[in-house]
Amino acid sequence: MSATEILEVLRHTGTIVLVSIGMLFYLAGSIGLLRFPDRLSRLHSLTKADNVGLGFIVAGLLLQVGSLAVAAKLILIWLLALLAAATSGSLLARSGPPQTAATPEGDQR
Amino acid sequence: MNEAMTALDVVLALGIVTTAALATTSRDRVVSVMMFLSLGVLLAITWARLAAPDIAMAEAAIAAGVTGALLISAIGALRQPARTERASWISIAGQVAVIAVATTMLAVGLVSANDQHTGPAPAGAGALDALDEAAVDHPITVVLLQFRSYDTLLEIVVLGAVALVAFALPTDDAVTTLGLRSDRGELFGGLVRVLLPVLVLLAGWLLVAGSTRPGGAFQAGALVAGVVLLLYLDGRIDPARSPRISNRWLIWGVLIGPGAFIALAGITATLGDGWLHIAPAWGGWVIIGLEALLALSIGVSLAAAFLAGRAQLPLLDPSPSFGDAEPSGRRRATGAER
Repeated sequence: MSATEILEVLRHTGTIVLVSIGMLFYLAGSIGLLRFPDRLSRLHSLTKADNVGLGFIVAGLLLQVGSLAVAAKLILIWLLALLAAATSGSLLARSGPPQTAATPEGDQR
Repeated sequence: MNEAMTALDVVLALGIVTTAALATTSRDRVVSVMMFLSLGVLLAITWARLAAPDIAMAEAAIAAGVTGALLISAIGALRQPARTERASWISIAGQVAVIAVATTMLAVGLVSANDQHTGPAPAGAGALDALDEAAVDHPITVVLLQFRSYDTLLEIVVLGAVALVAFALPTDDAVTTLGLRSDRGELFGGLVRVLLPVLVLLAGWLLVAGSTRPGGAFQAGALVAGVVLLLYLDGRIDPARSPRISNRWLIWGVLIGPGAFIALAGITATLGDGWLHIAPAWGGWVIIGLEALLALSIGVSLAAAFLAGRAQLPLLDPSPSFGDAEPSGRRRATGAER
């Protein structure tokens, strides 16, 4: 195979691998949302899915775009989602009732 | 590839039906709202699958975003129990019957339409032919604001009417106090400081991009709604300290879009070729200018519907008079927070 064909195969394989890893994070986040016992743990799993999972999916898609502008927009989407997920996760964790005595000491936030 | 796309379509269709059914039949209000949000996301993806990115953007931002915020705000402040009663079997049977009849009529209509027209619909073909004389490049914007601008005018007037009715809801005098906790610490303030310029830039870009690609007034208006809501939620616009300014600001923002549209209609009717007849020569600039004002108006209307709904919910101080007790209550809580 020529060099360009090898690069093509590598590119597509990289996309598949990165997007699959991202989907694994999303799956883990969803399972954590359903199975974790309290609010803070669920938020913990959700924010992992949002930040890292989306990052991997965006990285996988970056290999597929042709223009720099679209790549920049994809990265901007990921950064904005990071901001929103981090802030809303923190706000959600602070709102609502404080944890019961069953939680470990020092776990105030 | 086609099999994968078909599988995706089937999963989307099943997901839409399931979330819609769960949203309407669930007894827990929180579950209903969450299902409605999921439905909005699935609908946005479906519109994207149908190659309609404009509608997908509007669906995601307005239906899933603003309406979702409205619903969450509503159930968050309800003092009634969150669980409703189980619907009677007559009601459920009636709903199922109505849905079955509507689906049958839709299916019959689609099948008969497929038999009659072998190509695109006559109106669509006519519009495609007339695109050469269009003022802008993007066909959706052309149809919305040039060919069918009267329909868009009516939509904007309806949205403005919704916002004005929302203003009439609070029992006391207009939106003087919101009962919103404006002090959320440095975290939210920092987010707002970073997000606001980005959102303003994005709204402007979506507005201008509507001439050549998916975008336009409604999508930019959804971002403007986000900007207005962030300003209020962060306390940067404080109706307690400057009620007249923020009130007037909201109402003028709601009125400027339909007002500009009606003014354009009047000008084209009296001085131009006809009612809302937009010539391609000056139409591009007029459409962009009109879309800018429409985006502002749509954003403020959506945000006003959300804010006016908050104005009558006593979050901090459940006293009957909002005008007097609310500001001191807010400031007291704000002082304690700091």
